[in-house]
Amino acid sequence: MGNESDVRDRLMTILSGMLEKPPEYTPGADIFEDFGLDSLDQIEFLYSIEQAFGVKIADETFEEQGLREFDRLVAHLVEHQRLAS
Amino acid sequence: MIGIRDVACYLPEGKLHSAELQTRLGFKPGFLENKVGVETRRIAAADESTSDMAVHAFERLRERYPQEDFGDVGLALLCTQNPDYKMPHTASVVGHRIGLPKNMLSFDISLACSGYVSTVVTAKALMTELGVRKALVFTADPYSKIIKPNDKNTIALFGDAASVSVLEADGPLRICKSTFGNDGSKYQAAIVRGSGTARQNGEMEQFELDGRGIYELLKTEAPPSIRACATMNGLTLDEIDLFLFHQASAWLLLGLREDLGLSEERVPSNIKHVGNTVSSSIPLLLDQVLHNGGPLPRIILMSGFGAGLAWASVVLRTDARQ
Repeated sequence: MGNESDVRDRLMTILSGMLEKPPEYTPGADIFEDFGLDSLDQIEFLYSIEQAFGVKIADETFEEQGLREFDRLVAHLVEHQRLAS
Repeated sequence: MIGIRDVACYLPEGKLHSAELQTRLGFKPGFLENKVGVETRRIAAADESTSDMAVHAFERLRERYPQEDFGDVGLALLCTQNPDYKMPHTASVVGHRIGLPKNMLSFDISLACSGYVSTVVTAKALMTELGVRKALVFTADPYSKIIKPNDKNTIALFGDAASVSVLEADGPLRICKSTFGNDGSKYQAAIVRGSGTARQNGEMEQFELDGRGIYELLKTEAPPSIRACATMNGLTLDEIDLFLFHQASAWLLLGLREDLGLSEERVPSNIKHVGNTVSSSIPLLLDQVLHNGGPLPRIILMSGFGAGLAWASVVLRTDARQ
């Protein structure tokens, strides 16, 4: 637990379950624009992150810190786990 | 045992279609119909009040029972968070307009989406305590009066409706045991700021809905409450014929149904043509169930969840077992 690869895999698992198919990742991909999540999916997605990683991300934080971008979200979660360990 | 005899409902004439909202507010095609699950919402007229809607519901009821004068009603409760006036209670206005007797107890109950279940159970408790043999339970909560037309979070979801339920000492749909919950720490999840004494200087009235708060309510509180209600009534979920859930949104209902392992056939929905009608959503479903020409279900579980945050579940039974 805690390394970037593990976080990526777990996020992809969450997204695959929600989208019913693995999202097509490209560097800089936006979870909404590129993966196809909608505003209601955001609610479920952030809840799933909370359940999986123990991190509660507020809607405002999600927007303000650019966490819609998959890579930035991974970095955010990796940093959270580093600080928690 | 106190039970529900009948339910009558009213839908306003005005309609707001999802196609119009899609054009006006830029929703993605299909989002409103598929994810939110609403094609059309009914909207009260600008000059149509909460009591108007409740009275219309009662007129539907009276059409079914033209010989009944309802002069023996001993209790009238009205569930709304958008009353005609802050004072007096809207139940009093409605009671006057429909000719209810003076020698009865009547008041408003301020609850939103959990309101029908809570008001029905409250009515049963009062009927039991006071020896009242007939009661009316109204729901009428026109959210169109408080929603901002360009608020994408809310305008697509809610519709207006009203209902009246007749409860009697030997009503056929016996009201059994219930479960409740209230989490005031999340009171801001569904709130009309600037609407009461907690108003900040310069604050304007504004309905705000936190989708995350409601989502978490349905994930964390609703399923155990529903299971506990079944258990309290000596039932498993499999033994319950029909689940009438508050119609929050198609997406939330699907999640709740999946979390409980319930088939679609046992969880009817009407949100497509009326939207989320707040405390009227469950009685709208019950009205359909009672008047669809089929046999009455033996066991029904009703569950509502929403602003407060508050949630409530109750079992209704038509069979001989208690």
